Amino acid sequence: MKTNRPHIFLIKIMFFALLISGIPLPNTFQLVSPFWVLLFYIYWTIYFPAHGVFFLALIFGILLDILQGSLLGQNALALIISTAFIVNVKQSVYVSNISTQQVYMFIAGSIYLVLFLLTHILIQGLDFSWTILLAPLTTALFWPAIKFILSKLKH
Amino acid sequence: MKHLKLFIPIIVSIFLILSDYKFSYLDNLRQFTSTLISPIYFLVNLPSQLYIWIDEQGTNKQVLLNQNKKLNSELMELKVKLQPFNSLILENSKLSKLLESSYSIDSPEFTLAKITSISQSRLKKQLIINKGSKNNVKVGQVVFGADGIVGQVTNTTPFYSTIILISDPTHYIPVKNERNGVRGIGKGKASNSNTIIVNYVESKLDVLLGDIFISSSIDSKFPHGYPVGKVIHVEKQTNNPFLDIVLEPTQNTNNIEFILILKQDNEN
Repeated sequence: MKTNRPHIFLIKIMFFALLISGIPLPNTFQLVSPFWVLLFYIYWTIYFPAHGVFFLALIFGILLDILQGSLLGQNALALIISTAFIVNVKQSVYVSNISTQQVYMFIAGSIYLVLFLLTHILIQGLDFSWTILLAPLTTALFWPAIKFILSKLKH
Repeated sequence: MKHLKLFIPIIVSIFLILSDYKFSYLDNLRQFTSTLISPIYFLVNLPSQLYIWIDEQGTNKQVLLNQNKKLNSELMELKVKLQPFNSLILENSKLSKLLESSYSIDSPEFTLAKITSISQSRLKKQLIINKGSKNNVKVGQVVFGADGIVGQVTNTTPFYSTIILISDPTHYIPVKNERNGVRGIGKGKASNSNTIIVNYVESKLDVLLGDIFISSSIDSKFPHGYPVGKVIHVEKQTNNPFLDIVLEPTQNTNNIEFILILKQDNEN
């Protein structure tokens, strides 16, 4: 895969991320499954210098909202703000070892979850399964595997 | 400029959230994009469809013959059970004519569909079926399983439709107790277990464990009298004027393969 075309690479990996997000899982697994789109997008944000990261986050967030039947903009808002956090600490993430990167992923996942649930709570009230709170942890745990696979694809 | 690049997408997404929640201006955009990304549903289900196909190819002829025999006998049994029901319908229509009543029992038409995947969202309980707008499936149509109401169609693409389950926390259904007609509003419970809570049933009313709640005709969307759930928990709370009732849906969606979509649009 050619890395001199970052947007083509992004479309390919995000298609794959949306595909994984659409895989039907039992309810509990679905709740604790990592934020795949966030993980793939963060990888691209860190390792590819490109413009319009927030606008692209909006587009992929909307696609995820439609795929999952969520409120339009719910995943988009969470993805944009989590990406903003990663963009701010990009240099630090880039040079960190894998465990420190996992801490950053946990924080990004937590921001994503807080915003996702905030929208949900504002509209539907405090009515959700608490198992979902484990999702940032699984997001952090899956980061090494995602990083390894995508770095292989990059080359 | 740097902040503007961040704030514009944030404002757009907040605008989308508000407009999607309050209004239906974005339904066409959602419909169009759903159609565009519907190949993802196909790809996601490809492995399971392939497994089913291989499994079907390997099925023994004798097994198929036995299955056919069993299904035929079941069909015959159901037809016999239906005979008194047919005469009751006739009797009912005669009585309605005599009383000059406009009440009549509907003879509903259904579309059969196969479930392709279950729940791919964190906070929504929904499933995807292999019939879409090309098969005249429309948003709002009610979906049934062999044992009761499954849910309602929420989104359609030409080849796929999304169904929200009655156990989803955003889904409401008017229900009544089959035994004594006690009415309430059923709402999905946000938990890992697929359960429904019944709201607004006064604590002095009679609801017992094992009672069956059926759809009520108060709401025009749902046809009257189809099973919704069985009471698995009922509790009188001291500081609450209403009973705490939990139902287990009569239709188990974990092992369901086919569903029926009610063709008529009860939207009047």
